[in-house]
Amino acid sequence: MKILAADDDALSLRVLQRSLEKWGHEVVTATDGNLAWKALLEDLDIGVMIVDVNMPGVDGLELCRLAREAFGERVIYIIVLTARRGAESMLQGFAAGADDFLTKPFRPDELRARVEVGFRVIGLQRMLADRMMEHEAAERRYRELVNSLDVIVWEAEINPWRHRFMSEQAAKLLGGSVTRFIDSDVWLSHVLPADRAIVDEYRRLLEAGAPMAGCDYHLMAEGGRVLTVRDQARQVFDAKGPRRVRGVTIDVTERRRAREQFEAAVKMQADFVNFASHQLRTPLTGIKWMLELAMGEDDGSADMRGFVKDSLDASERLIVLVNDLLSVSRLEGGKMIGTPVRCDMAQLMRDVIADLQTVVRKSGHELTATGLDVEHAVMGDAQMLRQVLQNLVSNSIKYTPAGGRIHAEVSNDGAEVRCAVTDTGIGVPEAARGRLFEKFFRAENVSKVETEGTGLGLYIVRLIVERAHGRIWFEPAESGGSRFLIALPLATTPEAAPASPVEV
Amino acid sequence: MSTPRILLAEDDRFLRKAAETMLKRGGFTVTAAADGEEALRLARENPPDLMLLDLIMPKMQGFDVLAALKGAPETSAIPVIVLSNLGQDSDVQLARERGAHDYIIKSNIALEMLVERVRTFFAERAA
Repeated sequence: MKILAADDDALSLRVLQRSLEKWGHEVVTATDGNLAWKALLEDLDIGVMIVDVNMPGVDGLELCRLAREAFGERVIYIIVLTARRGAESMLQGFAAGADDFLTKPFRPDELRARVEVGFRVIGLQRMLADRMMEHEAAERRYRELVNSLDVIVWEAEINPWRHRFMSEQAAKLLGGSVTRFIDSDVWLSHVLPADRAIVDEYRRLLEAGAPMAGCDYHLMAEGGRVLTVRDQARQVFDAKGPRRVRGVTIDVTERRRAREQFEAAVKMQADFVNFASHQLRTPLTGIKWMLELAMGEDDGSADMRGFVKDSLDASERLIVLVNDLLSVSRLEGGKMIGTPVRCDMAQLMRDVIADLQTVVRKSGHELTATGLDVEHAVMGDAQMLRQVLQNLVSNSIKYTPAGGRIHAEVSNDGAEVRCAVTDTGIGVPEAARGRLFEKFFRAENVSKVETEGTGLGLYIVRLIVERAHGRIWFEPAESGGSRFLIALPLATTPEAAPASPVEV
Repeated sequence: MSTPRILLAEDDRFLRKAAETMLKRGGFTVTAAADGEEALRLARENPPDLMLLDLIMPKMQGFDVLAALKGAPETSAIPVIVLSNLGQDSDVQLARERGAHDYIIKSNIALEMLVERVRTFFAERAA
């Protein structure tokens, strides 16, 4: 930063220049007001001007006035030199725009001190100007950012409601210009009358001091288009001024529409699957029942009876497949089937074991159980949980050679109910263990035992268990057989006995 | 006691024939109806000891037959077991709300078991 020294007295000017240069300053000199003015215009690096009051042409005070008028933004520290003493000339100088005053002849150290002050003031002023510019640039950036968002950002005084800020997106969505929202409650006139109560309640919450509030409602844009919006606001904690809230309004019209379409599609799919499964099951039942009747006839060869028996088995398999596909479709559709009720896993396990007694007797397996004499309650759908246990025990019977042992166990540790089914069967090869619960997955050794499985059983079991917020996993049993475990959250609140499960 | 009379409402002719045959073999007297209207008419004319009622039928749905039966004093006492391939909980619940005694999914039950269930029903009723 340079110093401009202007004095028509050549000697005085030289003394001034030497002194200043000695102290390390860069000095520009001028011998009259016109030259000084020219230097000011040309050299933008001049920050301090020391000017003699009495000069021919443009004098010192005139120069002060010119500089103050012309360089509104540019900061220059002006020290006026005068030979005259007294308050009068000093006041004249200050009136013309001078910052400081020095009477000739001056002591060099006084000049030095005053120049130093000038530099400090200029430095501070320039820093302040830079900060202001930075601040303005930041605010501009912020404003541009806010206005480019595809949400409406707003700020409002409450009591009464008056918007103090509204981002450009409001104009894009609702029409007109954003200024019409400011200092008014024009916003409310866009709210659909049917939703007024919702908005009133939302505002009441904020007025009452709720730190945050939000709601969904509809707005009508200019031209009659109706938008679904989600509005969320929070209090502005600011000591100054009236209470305000700041919020964001998001246009969720498209999102809402997409969700509704998706839900309709899911429902249509579920309806279709239900209809299709009904239509498939009816003729299948016809085949099965007719074959049963045929089985009951005494006439016919042994071969014939064998063929009928095989046909009956095949029809039953087909029905199981249709039922499994229906289960998968329902479970994957995320459709909640009934509200969860308290189910005693021990009771369900007892039922399942009782149902399978005839099968086990025929196959020669040994089926034992522990932990079934006390209640182990979970929350879920009794039918489905029963299907889980039924599937696990049936699998063990199916994949354990005749004479093998199957053990069912129900326990709880105060947080979780565990059901384990362990067998001495063929087990699960290591490579297949990670994929056991995948859809349509069948382990290689299983396919050798029987080829007719659908690969859906354990997948359905997993879906049911997960729906009941539980886990299912496999562990190899010591015998080389399998151990399947499920863990479900223990039901905490004791209730009356669950409603008797319906036959489905 | 004379043989129990069963009214079987089933529109699918294969299912109707199979069920009718098996129930007759089981010692019951069976009257069959092929649609909802016929089922309701037969039930009114000659109230059976038990009605086996399909849900999806032409002319009149089983749910409506059930409501009509339960809504009239002369037929409201007829016990009804729904015999359907609709298996959603909502169907089962609606049938029960409308007064069905039991709900059987046809594809999941052997014909022999169906007769067994009917027999159990009469045994429990007699007890």
